[in-house]
Amino acid sequence: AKPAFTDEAVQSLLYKMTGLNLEKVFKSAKKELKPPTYKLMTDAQLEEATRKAIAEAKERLRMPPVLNEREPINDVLADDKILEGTETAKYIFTDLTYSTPHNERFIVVREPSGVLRKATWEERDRMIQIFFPREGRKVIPPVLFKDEHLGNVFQQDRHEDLLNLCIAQFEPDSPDYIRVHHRTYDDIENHAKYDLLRSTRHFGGMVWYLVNRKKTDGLLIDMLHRDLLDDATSLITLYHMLHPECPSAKEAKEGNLQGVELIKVFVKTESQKEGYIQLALQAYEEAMATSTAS
Amino acid sequence: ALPAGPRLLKSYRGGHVVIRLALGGCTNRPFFRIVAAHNKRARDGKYLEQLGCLDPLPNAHGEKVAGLNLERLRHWLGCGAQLSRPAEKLLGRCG
Repeated sequence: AKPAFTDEAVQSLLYKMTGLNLEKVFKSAKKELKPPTYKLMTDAQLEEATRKAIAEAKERLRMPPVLNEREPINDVLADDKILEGTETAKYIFTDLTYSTPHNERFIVVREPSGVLRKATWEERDRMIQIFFPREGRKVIPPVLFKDEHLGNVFQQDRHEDLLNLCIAQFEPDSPDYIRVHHRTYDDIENHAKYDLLRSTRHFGGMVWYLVNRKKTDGLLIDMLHRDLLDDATSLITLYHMLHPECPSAKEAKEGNLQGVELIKVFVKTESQKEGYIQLALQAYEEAMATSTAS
Repeated sequence: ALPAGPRLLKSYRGGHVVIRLALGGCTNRPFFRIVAAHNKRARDGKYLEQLGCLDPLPNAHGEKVAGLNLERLRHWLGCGAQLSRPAEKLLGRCG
């Protein structure tokens, strides 16, 4: 069966590709100004501190889940014609028991026409935010997430902040969340700004989206320009895992190719921008040759 | 000194627990709290437990928001609480 986003192998590949730029992960979020603290350590203590930093970075780089869109709820519980015309507005009833998880809460709407129906997902999200407020969410989703304003954000290169806001505001399976994420990934791919997301927790999701739609060429070129051969090979192995019926996957399995060979086979069969990738490959090989020679 | 004990916890002769709507909020802006209290208490006075709320004015999306703590409601109804007429109507509407 097709491997899902949450498989161990897939997650490990994506984590390797995300890179571990400690400076960027621990870049200070805007807080009160404090003079920096200096500590005096021996070498062993420094290693210990770097190890702890790597563990915490791994925590911070955990990817948010990628789920399918949730389906709209359309359940009618009762229809009481007696109540028709008695009221002027809808009533929304929310179950406020503290110990039920938010997915299982009863949130019911009684329309002025007497129809008693379950609330839609947007109404559910709003009510839950009103009665059980969560940090970083607003009751009405900010206007920023509409399509015309997303263009503005992209021009300012603030994709990462936008995606963090999106995670805080929406559920992972709401259509708004998915739409905003797809728009962001498309824009990054059109302008080849992969490096903006490289050390953040959104990189895995972006790679998953691109591989599912077979638009991996730009990312491959970017990796070759930065001499990241391991990342390129892991990208191609992921591609083969997801699309096992394509010719390059079969060739790779027969020959059990590694490294540069794998990329060449992939380039010949799958990619649209063959010329660019060949150029990048040649540049990389020349760079490798000069570095090994000198 | 504060008289503790008997003064703070008033005991009634023949009163019973009611679930009713207590009015709060500002001028021209009512807001009801669904409350379990003794029959003889003031409408907005000390209650036993708050079980939810009702906002009688429709909000930006044209809805009247109400919240009900069903678990505690069941407990009080099991203990033998009575309902006031508006509280009955509300619970009837939500089914």
